[in-house]
Amino acid sequence: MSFRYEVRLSGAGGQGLILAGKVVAEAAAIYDKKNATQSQSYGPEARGGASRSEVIISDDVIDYPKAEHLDFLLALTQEACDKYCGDLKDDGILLVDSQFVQKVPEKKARVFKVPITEIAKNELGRALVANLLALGIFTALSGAVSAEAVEAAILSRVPKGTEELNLNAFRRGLELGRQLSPHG
Amino acid sequence: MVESSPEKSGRPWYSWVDEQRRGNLLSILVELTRLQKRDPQFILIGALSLLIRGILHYMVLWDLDLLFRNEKALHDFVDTEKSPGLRIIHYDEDLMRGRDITSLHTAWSFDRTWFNVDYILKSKMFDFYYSTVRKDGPYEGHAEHGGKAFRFTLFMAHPWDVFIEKILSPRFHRELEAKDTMSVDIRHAVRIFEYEKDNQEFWKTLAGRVARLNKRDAFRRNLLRLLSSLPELGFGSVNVDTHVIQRISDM
Repeated sequence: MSFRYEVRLSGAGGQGLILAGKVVAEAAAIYDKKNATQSQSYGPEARGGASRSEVIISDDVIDYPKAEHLDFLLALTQEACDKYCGDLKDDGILLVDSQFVQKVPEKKARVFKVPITEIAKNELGRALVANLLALGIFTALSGAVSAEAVEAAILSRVPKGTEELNLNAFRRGLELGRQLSPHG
Repeated sequence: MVESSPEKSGRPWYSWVDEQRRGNLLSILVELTRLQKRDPQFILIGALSLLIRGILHYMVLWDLDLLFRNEKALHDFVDTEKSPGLRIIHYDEDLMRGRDITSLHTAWSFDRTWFNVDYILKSKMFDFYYSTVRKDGPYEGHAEHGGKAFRFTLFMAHPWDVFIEKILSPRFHRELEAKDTMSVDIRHAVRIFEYEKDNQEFWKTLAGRVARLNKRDAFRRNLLRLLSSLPELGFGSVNVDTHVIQRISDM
């Protein structure tokens, strides 16, 4: 049976989720040589309103590029969690930012609560890299893309002088994800 | 008619599109040429326009952004019959309306891959790009892939206009304030600056365009701020001569 993995990264505008979705899709398509699609949707305001990015990764041709049955949901806000949890498969993974998502709906899915933004701010010195930290956790928990491919995709998007800051955020997330994952 | 020019990098622009999706993109450009009217109802803007003109040299999953003249033009385009081999999926159920931008996200496929094509409405921006496009005429490009030749003729944003829009955009300002090292707008603005900084015509045209927009102070302030922040943003290798700073200050 072919591999198809559906991801939704959700939260508010300005949290870098669209970019994070692009990095995942680029990692899968360009560096892991799989098939991938990525789509995005903003709420009424580019900053502060709802924002989501979807990625589909597959070994096979992607006939329909819209995500409908999520294998992985990242929710950085309570609103996003409430809105999208219903699309998550029973055996899916829900990753929430525990600082902003207090109530997690009843689901059979595996749930991981991590203070993503707080770690980005306090440990890495910049809340702005919370999206890359979340990508690291996603990579470790999902196994849908290789860490090497995500690093290559990040490097192609950042200026040479900032590689360390951005890679450190991703690698810290990877470490956290490996500690959380039973396969880690 | 604007002819495509040789790349500074020595590689054709489409070599920066991943090979799997390259044929699909080139077919889409040919299809858009067919769908375009003599008086343009849409203009190709954004990163892909900079890639095609040889200004950007890196590989990502590119999107294609079409800026429409108005809402009617967008709806007419949606309703226009496309080539039989083309499949289009709408990611959004309807137009996504924001304060400054309205959009409809779609994906187009001529083969086994999908390419994002975003339909965009931005208040006043069509007229801004159109004023240059009308004078210059469409951009003519050609490419070869998989033993096939692709020719396209499209109305495409001028990179100097893209530069002005980026420097003046609220998003650019926010990302600059936040020192966002992954900002696409900052990266593109820096690339255009690097590409054109020694071109006297670039600065002359910019000064005139910005003055006509009545945004000279904001433009000068944002651009000087960008240039002074280059090292922090990871672009420390970009050389900024004092005569360039003087030129901007005198704008």
